[in-house]
Amino acid sequence: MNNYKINSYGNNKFYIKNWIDEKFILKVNKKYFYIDYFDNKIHLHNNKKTYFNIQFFQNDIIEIHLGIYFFNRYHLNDDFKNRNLLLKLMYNNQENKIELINTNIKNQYYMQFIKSKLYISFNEDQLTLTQKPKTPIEFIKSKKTYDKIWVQRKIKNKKIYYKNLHNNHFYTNFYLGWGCEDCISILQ
Amino acid sequence: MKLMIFKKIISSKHFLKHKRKCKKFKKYNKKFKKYNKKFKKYNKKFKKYNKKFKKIIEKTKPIIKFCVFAGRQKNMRILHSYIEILLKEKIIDQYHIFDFSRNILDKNFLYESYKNFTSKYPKQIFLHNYKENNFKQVKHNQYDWSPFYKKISNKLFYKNSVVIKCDDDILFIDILGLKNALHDRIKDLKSFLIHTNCINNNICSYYHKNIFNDIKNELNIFPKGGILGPTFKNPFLAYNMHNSFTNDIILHNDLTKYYIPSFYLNHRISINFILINGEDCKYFKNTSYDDEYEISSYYPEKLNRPNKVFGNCICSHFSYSLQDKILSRNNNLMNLYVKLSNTYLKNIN
Repeated sequence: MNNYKINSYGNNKFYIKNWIDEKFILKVNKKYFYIDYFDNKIHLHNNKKTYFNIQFFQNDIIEIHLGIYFFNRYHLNDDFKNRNLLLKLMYNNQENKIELINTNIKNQYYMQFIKSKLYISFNEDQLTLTQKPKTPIEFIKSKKTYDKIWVQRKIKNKKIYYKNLHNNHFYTNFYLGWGCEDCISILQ
Repeated sequence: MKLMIFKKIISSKHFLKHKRKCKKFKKYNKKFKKYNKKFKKYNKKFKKYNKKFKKIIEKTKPIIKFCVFAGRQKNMRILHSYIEILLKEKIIDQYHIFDFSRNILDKNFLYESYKNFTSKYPKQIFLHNYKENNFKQVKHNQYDWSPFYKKISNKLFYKNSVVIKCDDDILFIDILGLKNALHDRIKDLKSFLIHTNCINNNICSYYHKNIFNDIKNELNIFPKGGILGPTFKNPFLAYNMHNSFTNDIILHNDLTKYYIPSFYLNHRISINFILINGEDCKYFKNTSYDDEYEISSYYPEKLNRPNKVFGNCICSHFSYSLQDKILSRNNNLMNLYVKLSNTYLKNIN
């Protein structure tokens, strides 16, 4: 029978594996892509940032995902909700493929969905999809400073958030699941 | 001459020894009879205490409450055949029907089956939410499950009991496996939820990849965070699993192939057939719409307790709402499950 242990030290203090390893931050004009848990929509924020996973297929073709959700026109036009994930995208991964189109600025690209030919753009910090390229987007790979990080837990609206005690950032899983699945490490 | 011989015998050492032994024997015999009387007395007392002890054990033994989110008639007919055996074999003590039916036909069926069950098992069958259910408990495509959670979070209900929460589309229950799972649930106080090893459950399907060889590659994707997964995205995988599982058990009646090692998990899981310790039900007072999230994620994480899948108890979950269009396209699978219940329960009897 396998076992588990809780990485708990003292009252409301845990250490967990550093989750930002291999993740990316997307940036437009010194503002970060940020998805608010309460409205499920992406907008730009001065300080808060969301960490995304980016999968590279070729040098200029990528897929961006946030947990179980991918960047595609259904999610970006609507909400990051299961109904889009399931009803419109069964078997269809082509909607998620994004082509990076070079701009004249270093490390900045226009992002265009290959299938729908729509560009990811921003209008007054709100994300829109446009027919023509409008907003150059920069993506930066996050740097891992610690292998394990210390966190504290806070609960709001029946959702558990973790405060990174090294930099005071708050973290929770975007989807309705465990706020952090690494808090209890299961020994197989 | 004879007298002389007699005198000689009487005065002989052997005779004297024998005489002494006889005296001792008589003494011991008396003592033995005394002790025997005492023993009989104690035996009577022991039997009395044993009866009392058994009564106390029965009182402290958790009451197994089998709760069903009852609804669709076609599913309930199959599920009831298993519940009847569970009641008959005294594996469960009470059957609680929570009326979450969505049309009048299903509602009437539930009431009829409630009546039938009560005639056979009086004081063991309960019908809840029957008057309150007006088919209007849907809000933003989500169903209000609060009648169930309000009921089970009542101390009078959960005290000294184990609560089994079963969906109406559970179409197979491993009777002996459930007995083991209940035993494990009573012992295991650290796991928050114990989920059975369920066919067509998003997490369990990943562990079934080696059992269903045809779709091994498709099932080899772990649902990240315990949400969705390949069987959600592709209902044909669920169809395949149901089809091969039912046919296999009908033919061979051997469940061992489907057993997996029990494992803990620290993420969400679909709650199709779960066992909850009565004392943990106190947390569910305000649970209503997002019940799966709260039960399998929020409370276990808050309490630092993992969930567990118990590998030696198999059940089969027919369909998630998104799979329903494919799985219920024809009655093939349903007919297979009817056949399976007949053959499997015949062997149990």
